[in-house]
Amino acid sequence: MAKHQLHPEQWIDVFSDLLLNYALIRIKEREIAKDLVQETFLTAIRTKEQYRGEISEMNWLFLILKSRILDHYKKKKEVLESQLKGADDDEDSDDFFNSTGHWSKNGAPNEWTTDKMVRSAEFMHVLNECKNRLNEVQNAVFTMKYIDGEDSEMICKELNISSSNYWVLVHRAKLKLRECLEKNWMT
Amino acid sequence: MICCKEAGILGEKMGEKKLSTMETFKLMYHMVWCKNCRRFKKQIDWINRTLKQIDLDEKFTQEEKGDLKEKVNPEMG
Repeated sequence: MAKHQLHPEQWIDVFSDLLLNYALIRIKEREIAKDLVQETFLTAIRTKEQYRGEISEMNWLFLILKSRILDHYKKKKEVLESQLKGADDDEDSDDFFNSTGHWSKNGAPNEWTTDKMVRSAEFMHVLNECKNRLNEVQNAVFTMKYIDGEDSEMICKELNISSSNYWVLVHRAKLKLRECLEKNWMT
Repeated sequence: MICCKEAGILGEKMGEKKLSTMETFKLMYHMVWCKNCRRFKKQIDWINRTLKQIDLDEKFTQEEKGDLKEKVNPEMG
């Protein structure tokens, strides 16, 4: 099978917008997403001798970006750790559940009408906006799990999170994301 | 019967792991009786499917692309 080749001189014109989109779905701030795309190109140029042509150059660039994003999450470890310390004091879920752990009157989910459950471009922006309102650790965990499809073991290992914290974090992230969509799109 | 908060976390685990027989029974029993948790699950399943298709159609501006080229191109040698 023919091996793929690199065309670095075309990268910015052909791949920069695709990479920016990918980064912005995973990183809240546009400036940081832009910097990560730039780092991706620079890393690719510096390591191009290692490219064996077994995957397309686009996939190769995405792999580098994915690794840069994971490094970014890890650099935010201090923020993640301080937010994890608060993971045990159920403040977030108190808004949704009463003292017996059942849905509170205001926290219970309302019925969503099917005409609002459409995947339009406008909705995608609201969804991303709601995801960006999650705190750093919830956003990182949620993105890795539900957008990148990573398993919990890998996420816990990479972000140094305990398994019990992980399940609570993901559940809280879902509670907040669902509530945000209900307030900003479904009503 | 387990509470809704516990059912939510068990439901989350069930998506990836095999629950014990007792956990599965507790969760199923709760779901049969709790309309709010069934509604929550249905909405979350839809959000999860939608997240996999998320596309923002964001682009670099021409100016940003120019800056990017200025920083990256000299590295090509």
